[in-house]
Amino acid sequence: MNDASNTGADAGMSFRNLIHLAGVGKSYGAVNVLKPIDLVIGDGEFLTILGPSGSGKTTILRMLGGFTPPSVGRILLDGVDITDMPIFERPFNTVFQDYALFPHMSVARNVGYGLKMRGRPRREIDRKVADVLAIVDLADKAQRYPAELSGGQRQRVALARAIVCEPRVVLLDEPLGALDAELRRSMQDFLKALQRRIRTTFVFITHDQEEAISMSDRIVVMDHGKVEQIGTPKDIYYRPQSEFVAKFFGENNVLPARLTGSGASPVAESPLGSHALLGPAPADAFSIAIRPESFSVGDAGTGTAGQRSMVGRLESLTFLGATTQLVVRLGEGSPHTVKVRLPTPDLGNGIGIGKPVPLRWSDADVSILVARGAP
Amino acid sequence: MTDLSLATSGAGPMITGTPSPRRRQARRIVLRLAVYGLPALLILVPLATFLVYSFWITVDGQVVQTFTLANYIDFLAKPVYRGVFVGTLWLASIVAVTSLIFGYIIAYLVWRLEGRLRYLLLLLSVIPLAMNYIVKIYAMRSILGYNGFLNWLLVTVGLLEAPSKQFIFNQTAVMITMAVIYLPYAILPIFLSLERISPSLMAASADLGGRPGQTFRNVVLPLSLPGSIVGALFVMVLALGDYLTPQMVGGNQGFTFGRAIWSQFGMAFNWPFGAALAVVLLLSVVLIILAAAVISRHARVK
Amino acid sequence: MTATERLTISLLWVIGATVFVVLYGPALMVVLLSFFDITREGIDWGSFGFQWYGRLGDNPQMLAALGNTLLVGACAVVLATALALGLAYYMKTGARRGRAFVEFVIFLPFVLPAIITGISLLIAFRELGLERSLITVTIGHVVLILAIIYRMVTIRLDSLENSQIEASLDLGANGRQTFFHVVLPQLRSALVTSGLLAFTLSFDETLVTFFLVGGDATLPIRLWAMMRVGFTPEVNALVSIVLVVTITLAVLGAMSLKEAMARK
Repeated sequence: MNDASNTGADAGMSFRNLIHLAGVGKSYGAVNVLKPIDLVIGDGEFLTILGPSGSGKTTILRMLGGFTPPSVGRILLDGVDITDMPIFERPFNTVFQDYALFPHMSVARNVGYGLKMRGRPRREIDRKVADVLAIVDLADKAQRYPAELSGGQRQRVALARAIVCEPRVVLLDEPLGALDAELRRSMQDFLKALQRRIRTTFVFITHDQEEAISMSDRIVVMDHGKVEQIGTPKDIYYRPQSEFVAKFFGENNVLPARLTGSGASPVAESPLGSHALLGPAPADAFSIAIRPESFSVGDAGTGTAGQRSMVGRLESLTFLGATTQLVVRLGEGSPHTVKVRLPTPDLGNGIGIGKPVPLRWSDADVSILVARGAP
Repeated sequence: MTDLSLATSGAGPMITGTPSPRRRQARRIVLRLAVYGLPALLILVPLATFLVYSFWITVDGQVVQTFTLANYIDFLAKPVYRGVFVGTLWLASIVAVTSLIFGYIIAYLVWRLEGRLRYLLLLLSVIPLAMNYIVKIYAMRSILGYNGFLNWLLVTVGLLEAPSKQFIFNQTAVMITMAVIYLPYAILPIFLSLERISPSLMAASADLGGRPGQTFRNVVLPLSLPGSIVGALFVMVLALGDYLTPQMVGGNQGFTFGRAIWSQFGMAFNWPFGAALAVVLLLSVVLIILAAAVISRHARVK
Repeated sequence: MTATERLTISLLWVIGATVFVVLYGPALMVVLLSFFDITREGIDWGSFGFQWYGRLGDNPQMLAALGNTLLVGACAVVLATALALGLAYYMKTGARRGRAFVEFVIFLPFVLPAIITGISLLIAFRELGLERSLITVTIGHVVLILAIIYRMVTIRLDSLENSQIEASLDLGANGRQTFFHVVLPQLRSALVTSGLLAFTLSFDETLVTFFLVGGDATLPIRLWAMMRVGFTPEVNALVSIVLVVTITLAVLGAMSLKEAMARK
């Protein structure tokens, strides 16, 4: 996991490096909950750690916050080792999954708690609390108690409490998990806008793929205590490196492939034909992936470089509204089918079940999956 | 670009305001010592001292620190102590059974009630716990005594011609007084074991055609009995260790094992022997508690 | 409900009522007697009045014993609360080794007969060379009531989310600040309840105190000593006051317990 593609710089980001997790891992006895990872977090970046439950994403967050000491590796902030720094000295603040608002304190006292603990003067506390409550649109609720607020309001109090101390990093542990779908959407927009406004690094934990894609500068996809892939949302979506990632985000076609050719010109043989491989093949047998929307339908022959075509047979057709999904068998008697998603208006008259369909796609849309099958 | 090499990670930079690792370590040790040490000092050390004492002996009023089983042999050899021990076990059992029966009746009646009345009666059945122990004994003595309320009542009603001395300064008086004093301790555990019965079970029984009486026999009683017995065993432990009730209402006939132990620390002044007797009591109590543990575990498995 | 069942329940209520009379009768009798003069012939029913309450001051030994009891109770509750609080908080913050064992030890004096606890402490104090006094009595009471306070604090602490403590640390409070600003305020009702119950317990404690008491008697011990000669009416008056106060305390404790349970 040491290759350069894991750093922000390579992913086209222009963030200064802020945090470096260097070989950080966690195990409880023989149970390895997080295999050692290397991760650089840029200053001002919105980084999402995404994975199903038990994938180790919360462990990363808890180690960053100082709640759980790593078993191996070091955590560096601006190049300074903070691995052993106690929680209360770290310039990080956390938005907890259950918000962890203090029930015996008013909203204003909750938000001002961190400043008070740092011994700031009363007037400064009052001013900053008022400012930040205005930002989260809760200025009129300052004297209320958490029990008197709605879920969304509590969430914003937790957020205000985390940003008022102007931390270097805000850690968010599935903060939207407890909200209903509609509130969730508006909080996503709010969070993203807030992050742009205060230009603070956000490390955001979620198990929701859409949330990750719509909010993040970069996504770390985790599964079974291991990093599957790190990259921009587009990277992750269109250039998955493993079958897990390929299948984690929406519909995808994963097809088996074999290595033919050798040495300087490796070739991948798959149900979609032969491709020249740009890099070395991961193994003799591996998988490729291509998104249903990467296909188009039409006669071959436009012939630009890298464009490919194949005639399949239409097996089924499902109207989904703006798009329509086709299932196409790749050649007579082939065991493989692909899903194809087309804008509904693009469907020509010639398309019908059992009839041949000319498929077109570009080599650039085909991803080579490093790992075949589940780890 | 910041330096991402691991070279700095060896010692870790010092943060101002943080106590040094050594001081933190020292504080942690002090804390741990207090946390584990204080309960040990206050509870375990006295218990251990007391166990050790039971193996020493008294010679001419002086405690001699030699390891010997003499006290235990003494206990086994003297029929007086054996007799008192067995008698006290019997007495405590009867007190326990009495508390079980009457405690169950009260707890069951309270449990059947609803709303404020239920809470009020529950409170009423627990309040006697807060009444002064000595006062209760004193009052029982004035009720049971020769010039007491009971004799006055029985003479007035005509059941007795003259006041009887049968009610006080004997084993029965001890039993009655203990039963009155310790009954409230049984009510709460019995009530709680009734509370644990899921209402859906009652509903299911009624739904299957069980009449209230049948539901009680087939559902309520079997499910609440283990917890109730545990409560009664708790009462038995209390009765076994009591030494003031027998001393005050038992007279010469109401001699119990607790009194025997107590007298070794009072008039007889043979602490090691008293400690040995107390160890015997402790062992029987441990057996009772183990029985209670087995019963409640068994009940939970069911 | 069939007729037999109704009859059974009615019969049970009769038994229950009798039991309640037996439970409360003794105490009521003492209260009743405190209002009358007692002569050789019995109770002088014409003498009803508060005269004995007015003459409480005639028995300075009694009042001193009452003062001792209050002092011991207050000290024992404060000490046991501090100890129980520290223990419970330590066990809460982090997976502690030996938690089950420490709890077992704390609960021992609660489960074992009082005579065992009394003898152990008596022997231990003697080996330590500690003279019997109100101090030894206080230590004995701390040992006895520690379990109650610890249990109630633990129940409340267990319902306190770990994230509350983490959030406080995360916001820059150290362990001490977290304890005083976040944990302690939320334990207040549990502490009041357990304090009340523990104080009631300490106030009436006799069987352990008997082994530990020195020259200064507590109220139950004083009452015991006076029983041999019979209670004089002013003692009845004092006992009545004590009964009313302890029962009030216990009811307050029970009510705040119910409230705490309802809130959870």
